[in-house]
Amino acid sequence: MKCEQAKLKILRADAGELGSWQTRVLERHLGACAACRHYRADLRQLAEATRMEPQPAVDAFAMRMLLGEAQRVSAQRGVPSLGTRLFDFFQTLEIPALRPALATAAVVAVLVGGALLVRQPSMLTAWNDDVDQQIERLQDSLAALSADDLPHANANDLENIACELLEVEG
Amino acid sequence: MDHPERKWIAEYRKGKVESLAHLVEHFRRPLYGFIVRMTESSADAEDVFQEVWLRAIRHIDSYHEKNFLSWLFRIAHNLVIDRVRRQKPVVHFPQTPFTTTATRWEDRIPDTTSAAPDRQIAMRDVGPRIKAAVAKLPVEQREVFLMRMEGDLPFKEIARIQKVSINTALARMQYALNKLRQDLKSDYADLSGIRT
Repeated sequence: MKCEQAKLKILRADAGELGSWQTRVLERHLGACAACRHYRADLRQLAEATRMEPQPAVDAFAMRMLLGEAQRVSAQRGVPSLGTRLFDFFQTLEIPALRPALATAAVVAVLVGGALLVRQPSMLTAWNDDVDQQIERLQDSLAALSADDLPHANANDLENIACELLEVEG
Repeated sequence: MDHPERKWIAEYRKGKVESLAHLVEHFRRPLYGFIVRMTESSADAEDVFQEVWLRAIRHIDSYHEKNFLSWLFRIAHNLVIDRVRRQKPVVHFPQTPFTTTATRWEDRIPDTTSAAPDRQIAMRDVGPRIKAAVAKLPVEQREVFLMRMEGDLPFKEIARIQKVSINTALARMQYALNKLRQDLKSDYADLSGIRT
């Protein structure tokens, strides 16, 4: 590996964007190249010094102004959309490994639900009122599937969760 | 939880306004650190910082991404670039300055919690010189450098914010580092002497 390439890889490694194989290649180069080791050390020193620069606390008055604006906007905004609530629900999940499966299940559920609503728009009002409770029930189901069980979670578990979501739609 | 901001965002969207205060405080350091070095003065920085949060508050429902800080940086980037292009101040809350002159950020106690005392002193001495050297960088390079250093954003995100390829973002960082290493040569020697 040439030093110019190694320097780019040092930057990406420092940002956590380098795969394990490329990291090993880079480490091998660094083991043999003092100039690149020096480059990395300089980069780290610069980062440390930059991050130690003093910064102000948020002024209490400015914070009150922001919170006042937030209150006003929040009052106008009303209840967040279903998409936003589902997004927040997935983002705050404690079992990250399940997120992709759940996200897929949610997309399927929303598509099925959307198709149903096109046929019967009157369903929307009643269903929307109930959706928070349904999401809470889904959270309980997920809590039952603890992190310890995760390695043993199989297609049936995921199917059950998908069914729960579909039930929310229905 | 690894990402406490996700909980606060969800709470805020449900109407718990106090959660916004946690968000502002949580992201204060990287965001302000970026803005203050991209603007002319600390008064400008305070304006932009406040405007970023006002925009975030007004558009929080459109946030559906993984990295909230990256979203905030994108707002800040747009404001800063707009400001550079038009050379006009951002207008908002003109009657309410963000801080008083008595509590300007330069006058406050440094956040030096993790380094050894002799290292802290050396870093504090070097700080103003780094600041001056960073200020001399071209805007695009300075922005990449600060997003990386202050925001700890990956290059993928930085490239997205600047609307350039990842290679361009990396090249800008490399140019910035080369210039800084050249400008700060003697300071590196000082720091190396107390390297832990």
